[in-house]
Amino acid sequence: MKFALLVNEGPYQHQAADSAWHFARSALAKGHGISRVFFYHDGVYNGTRLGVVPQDERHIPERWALLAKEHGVDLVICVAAAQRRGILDAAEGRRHGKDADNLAEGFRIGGLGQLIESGIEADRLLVFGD
Amino acid sequence: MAAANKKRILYVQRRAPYGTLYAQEALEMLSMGAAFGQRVGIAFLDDGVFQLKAEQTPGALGMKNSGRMVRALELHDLEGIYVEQESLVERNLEPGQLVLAGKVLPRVELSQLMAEQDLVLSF
Repeated sequence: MKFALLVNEGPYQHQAADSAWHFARSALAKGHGISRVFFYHDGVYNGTRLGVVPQDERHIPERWALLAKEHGVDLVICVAAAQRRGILDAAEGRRHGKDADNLAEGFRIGGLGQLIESGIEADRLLVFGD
Repeated sequence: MAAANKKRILYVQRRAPYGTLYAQEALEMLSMGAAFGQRVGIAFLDDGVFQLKAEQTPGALGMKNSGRMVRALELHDLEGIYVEQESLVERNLEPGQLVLAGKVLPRVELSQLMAEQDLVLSF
Protein backbone atom coordinates (compact mmCIF):
# COMPACT_ATOMS: atom_id res chain seq x y z
CA MET A 1 0.00 0.00 0.00
CA LYS A 2 1.17 3.55 -0.70
CA PHE A 3 0.91 5.95 2.24
CA ALA A 4 1.29 9.70 2.57
CA LEU A 5 1.68 11.27 6.02
CA LEU A 6 0.74 14.65 7.42
CA VAL A 7 2.65 15.70 10.56
CA ASN A 8 1.09 18.59 12.47
CA GLU A 9 3.27 18.76 15.58
CA GLY A 10 6.87 19.72 16.23
CA PRO A 11 9.60 17.38 17.49
CA TYR A 12 10.08 16.38 21.15
CA GLN A 13 7.16 18.25 22.75
CA HIS A 14 4.58 15.94 21.20
CA GLN A 15 4.49 12.25 20.39
CA ALA A 16 3.01 12.87 16.93
CA ALA A 17 6.33 13.37 15.10
CA ASP A 18 7.77 10.21 16.69
CA SER A 19 4.64 8.20 15.91
CA ALA A 20 4.73 9.31 12.28
CA TRP A 21 8.40 8.34 11.95
CA HIS A 22 7.86 4.94 13.61
CA PHE A 23 4.89 4.30 11.35
CA ALA A 24 6.89 5.25 8.26
CA ARG A 25 9.81 3.03 9.21
CA SER A 26 7.60 0.04 10.05
CA ALA A 27 5.53 0.42 6.90
CA LEU A 28 8.68 0.55 4.75
CA ALA A 29 10.11 -2.50 6.53
CA LYS A 30 6.96 -4.41 5.64
CA GLY A 31 7.27 -3.49 1.98
CA HIS A 32 4.77 -0.64 1.81
CA GLY A 33 5.59 2.71 0.23
CA ILE A 34 5.73 6.16 1.84
CA SER A 35 5.43 8.63 -1.01
CA ARG A 36 5.61 11.84 0.97
CA VAL A 37 5.61 13.27 4.48
CA PHE A 38 4.08 16.74 4.61
CA PHE A 39 4.76 18.97 7.62
CA TYR A 40 2.21 21.59 8.64
CA HIS A 41 1.52 23.75 11.72
CA ASP A 42 4.37 23.30 14.26
CA GLY A 43 5.32 20.18 12.31
CA VAL A 44 7.60 22.41 10.22
CA TYR A 45 10.05 22.49 13.17
CA ASN A 46 10.91 18.88 12.31
CA GLY A 47 12.90 20.38 9.45
CA THR A 48 15.34 22.62 11.32
CA ARG A 49 19.01 21.76 10.94
CA LEU A 50 20.02 23.89 13.94
CA GLY A 51 18.86 21.53 16.67
CA VAL A 52 21.65 20.53 19.04
CA VAL A 53 20.38 17.35 20.62
CA PRO A 54 21.99 15.64 23.65
CA GLN A 55 23.94 12.58 22.49
CA ASP A 56 21.80 10.15 24.44
CA GLU A 57 18.60 11.41 22.79
CA ARG A 58 17.07 10.67 19.42
CA HIS A 59 17.79 13.32 16.78
CA ILE A 60 14.41 13.75 15.14
CA PRO A 61 15.35 15.90 12.10
CA GLU A 62 18.33 13.65 11.29
CA ARG A 63 16.13 10.59 11.68
CA TRP A 64 13.72 12.01 9.08
CA ALA A 65 16.62 12.88 6.77
CA LEU A 66 17.92 9.32 6.95
CA LEU A 67 14.49 8.02 5.95
CA ALA A 68 14.57 10.34 2.92
CA LYS A 69 18.09 9.26 1.97
CA GLU A 70 17.58 5.52 2.35
CA HIS A 71 14.04 5.21 1.03
CA GLY A 72 13.52 8.27 -1.16
CA VAL A 73 10.73 9.62 1.02
CA ASP A 74 9.81 13.16 -0.05
CA LEU A 75 9.90 15.41 3.04
CA VAL A 76 7.95 18.59 2.33
CA ILE A 77 7.69 21.55 4.69
CA CYS A 78 4.72 23.87 4.07
CA VAL A 79 6.03 27.25 2.95
CA ALA A 80 3.31 29.31 4.65
CA ALA A 81 3.64 27.61 8.04
CA ALA A 82 7.45 27.62 7.76
CA GLN A 83 7.81 31.32 6.95
CA ARG A 84 5.68 32.25 9.94
CA ARG A 85 7.90 30.16 12.22
CA GLY A 86 11.30 31.02 10.76
CA ILE A 87 12.11 27.82 8.89
CA LEU A 88 13.78 28.89 5.62
CA ASP A 89 15.85 27.26 2.93
CA ALA A 90 18.64 29.25 1.27
CA ALA A 91 16.43 30.60 -1.52
CA GLU A 92 13.64 31.64 0.86
CA GLY A 93 16.17 33.25 3.19
CA ARG A 94 17.58 35.35 0.35
CA ARG A 95 14.16 36.21 -1.00
CA HIS A 96 13.05 37.61 2.34
CA GLY A 97 16.31 39.42 3.07
CA LYS A 98 17.32 37.19 5.97
CA ASP A 99 20.94 36.60 6.91
CA ALA A 100 20.54 32.87 7.41
CA ASP A 101 18.70 29.72 6.49
CA ASN A 102 18.05 26.62 8.55
CA LEU A 103 16.34 23.89 6.55
CA ALA A 104 17.77 20.47 7.31
CA GLU A 105 19.20 18.14 4.68
CA GLY A 106 16.63 15.87 3.11
CA PHE A 107 13.76 18.36 3.50
CA ARG A 108 12.37 20.78 0.94
CA ILE A 109 9.97 23.71 1.09
CA GLY A 110 6.72 23.18 -0.77
CA GLY A 111 3.11 24.23 -1.04
CA LEU A 112 -0.18 22.91 0.21
CA GLY A 113 -0.98 21.66 -3.27
CA GLN A 114 1.60 18.95 -2.64
CA LEU A 115 -0.33 17.78 0.42
CA ILE A 116 -3.57 17.50 -1.52
CA GLU A 117 -1.75 15.86 -4.42
CA SER A 118 -0.22 13.19 -2.19
CA GLY A 119 -3.55 12.69 -0.42
CA ILE A 120 -5.19 11.99 -3.75
CA GLU A 121 -2.43 9.81 -5.17
CA ALA A 122 -1.73 7.71 -2.09
CA ASP A 123 -3.96 4.85 -0.99
CA ARG A 124 -4.15 6.43 2.48
CA LEU A 125 -3.24 9.80 3.93
CA LEU A 126 -2.59 9.53 7.66
CA VAL A 127 -2.71 12.60 9.89
CA PHE A 128 -0.41 12.68 12.93
CA GLY A 129 -1.38 15.44 15.32
CA ASP A 130 -2.10 16.28 18.93
CA MET B 1 -11.26 17.80 -14.47
CA ALA B 2 -14.32 15.68 -15.19
CA ALA B 3 -16.75 15.47 -12.28
CA ALA B 4 -16.32 11.72 -12.02
CA ASN B 5 -12.57 12.12 -11.44
CA LYS B 6 -12.93 14.71 -8.74
CA LYS B 7 -12.09 13.57 -5.24
CA ARG B 8 -14.28 14.28 -2.26
CA ILE B 9 -12.27 16.06 0.41
CA LEU B 10 -13.62 17.02 3.84
CA TYR B 11 -11.83 19.46 6.12
CA VAL B 12 -12.77 18.82 9.74
CA GLN B 13 -12.43 21.77 12.10
CA ARG B 14 -12.36 20.53 15.70
CA ARG B 15 -10.57 23.28 17.62
CA ALA B 16 -11.56 26.56 19.20
CA PRO B 17 -10.50 29.54 17.07
CA TYR B 18 -8.01 31.14 19.46
CA GLY B 19 -5.43 29.92 21.96
CA THR B 20 -3.75 27.90 19.23
CA LEU B 21 -3.14 28.49 15.53
CA TYR B 22 -4.68 25.22 14.32
CA ALA B 23 -8.01 26.73 13.28
CA GLN B 24 -6.51 29.71 11.45
CA GLU B 25 -3.94 27.67 9.56
CA ALA B 26 -6.53 25.09 8.57
CA LEU B 27 -8.81 27.83 7.26
CA GLU B 28 -5.83 29.35 5.44
CA MET B 29 -5.20 25.99 3.82
CA LEU B 30 -8.74 26.07 2.48
CA SER B 31 -8.63 29.71 1.41
CA MET B 32 -5.37 29.19 -0.50
CA GLY B 33 -7.31 26.87 -2.70
CA ALA B 34 -4.92 23.97 -2.41
CA ALA B 35 -7.77 21.59 -3.13
CA PHE B 36 -9.48 23.54 -5.90
CA GLY B 37 -10.73 21.40 -8.70
CA GLN B 38 -11.88 18.78 -6.19
CA ARG B 39 -15.19 18.44 -4.34
CA VAL B 40 -14.38 20.16 -1.07
CA GLY B 41 -16.51 20.37 2.06
CA ILE B 42 -15.84 21.65 5.56
CA ALA B 43 -17.30 20.36 8.80
CA PHE B 44 -17.28 22.08 12.18
CA LEU B 45 -17.52 19.92 15.27
CA ASP B 46 -16.40 19.74 18.90
CA ASP B 47 -14.91 23.14 19.92
CA GLY B 48 -14.56 23.87 16.19
CA VAL B 49 -18.14 25.18 16.22
CA PHE B 50 -16.85 28.21 18.14
CA GLN B 51 -15.05 29.26 14.91
CA LEU B 52 -18.51 30.07 13.56
CA LYS B 53 -19.70 32.22 16.44
CA ALA B 54 -20.93 35.65 15.39
CA GLU B 55 -19.71 38.86 17.01
CA GLN B 56 -16.15 37.77 17.75
CA THR B 57 -13.68 40.53 18.67
CA PRO B 58 -10.24 38.89 18.66
CA GLY B 59 -8.44 42.14 17.82
CA ALA B 60 -6.95 42.46 21.31
CA LEU B 61 -5.33 39.05 20.82
CA GLY B 62 -3.80 40.13 17.53
CA MET B 63 -5.51 37.21 15.84
CA LYS B 64 -7.68 36.99 12.74
CA ASN B 65 -11.44 36.76 13.14
CA SER B 66 -12.29 33.14 12.38
CA GLY B 67 -15.92 34.02 11.61
CA ARG B 68 -14.77 36.37 8.87
CA MET B 69 -12.36 33.79 7.49
CA VAL B 70 -15.19 31.27 7.26
CA ARG B 71 -17.48 33.82 5.61
CA ALA B 72 -14.79 34.41 2.99
CA LEU B 73 -14.82 30.69 2.23
CA GLU B 74 -18.41 31.04 1.10
CA LEU B 75 -17.07 32.81 -1.98
CA HIS B 76 -15.39 29.58 -3.02
CA ASP B 77 -17.25 26.78 -4.67
CA LEU B 78 -17.56 24.53 -1.63
CA GLU B 79 -19.60 21.37 -1.75
CA GLY B 80 -21.00 22.03 1.70
CA ILE B 81 -20.45 23.69 5.07
CA TYR B 82 -21.57 21.30 7.81
CA VAL B 83 -22.08 21.88 11.52
CA GLU B 84 -22.52 19.08 14.03
CA GLN B 85 -25.76 19.43 15.94
CA GLU B 86 -24.59 17.77 19.17
CA SER B 87 -21.51 20.02 19.33
CA LEU B 88 -23.77 23.09 19.19
CA VAL B 89 -26.11 21.74 21.88
CA GLU B 90 -23.23 20.72 24.17
CA ARG B 91 -21.91 24.30 23.99
CA ASN B 92 -25.27 26.01 24.37
CA LEU B 93 -25.07 27.47 20.86
CA GLU B 94 -27.97 27.94 18.46
CA PRO B 95 -27.64 28.02 14.66
CA GLY B 96 -28.89 31.64 14.79
CA GLN B 97 -25.74 32.69 16.70
CA LEU B 98 -23.45 31.62 13.86
CA VAL B 99 -21.95 33.79 11.10
CA LEU B 100 -23.55 31.64 8.42
CA ALA B 101 -26.26 29.09 7.92
CA GLY B 102 -24.32 25.87 7.51
CA LYS B 103 -26.05 22.54 7.16
CA VAL B 104 -26.64 21.31 10.71
CA LEU B 105 -26.22 17.53 10.82
CA PRO B 106 -26.59 15.09 13.71
CA ARG B 107 -23.42 13.20 14.67
CA VAL B 108 -24.56 9.95 13.07
CA GLU B 109 -25.08 11.66 9.69
CA LEU B 110 -21.77 13.48 9.89
CA SER B 111 -19.93 10.21 10.45
CA GLN B 112 -21.73 8.84 7.40
CA LEU B 113 -20.57 11.89 5.41
CA MET B 114 -16.98 11.25 6.55
CA ALA B 115 -17.20 7.64 5.45
CA GLU B 116 -18.14 8.77 1.94
CA GLN B 117 -15.05 10.96 1.50
CA ASP B 118 -11.89 10.12 -0.43
CA LEU B 119 -9.85 12.27 1.94
CA VAL B 120 -10.55 13.58 5.45
CA LEU B 121 -8.22 16.27 6.78
CA SER B 122 -8.77 16.76 10.51
CA PHE B 123 -7.45 19.83 12.36
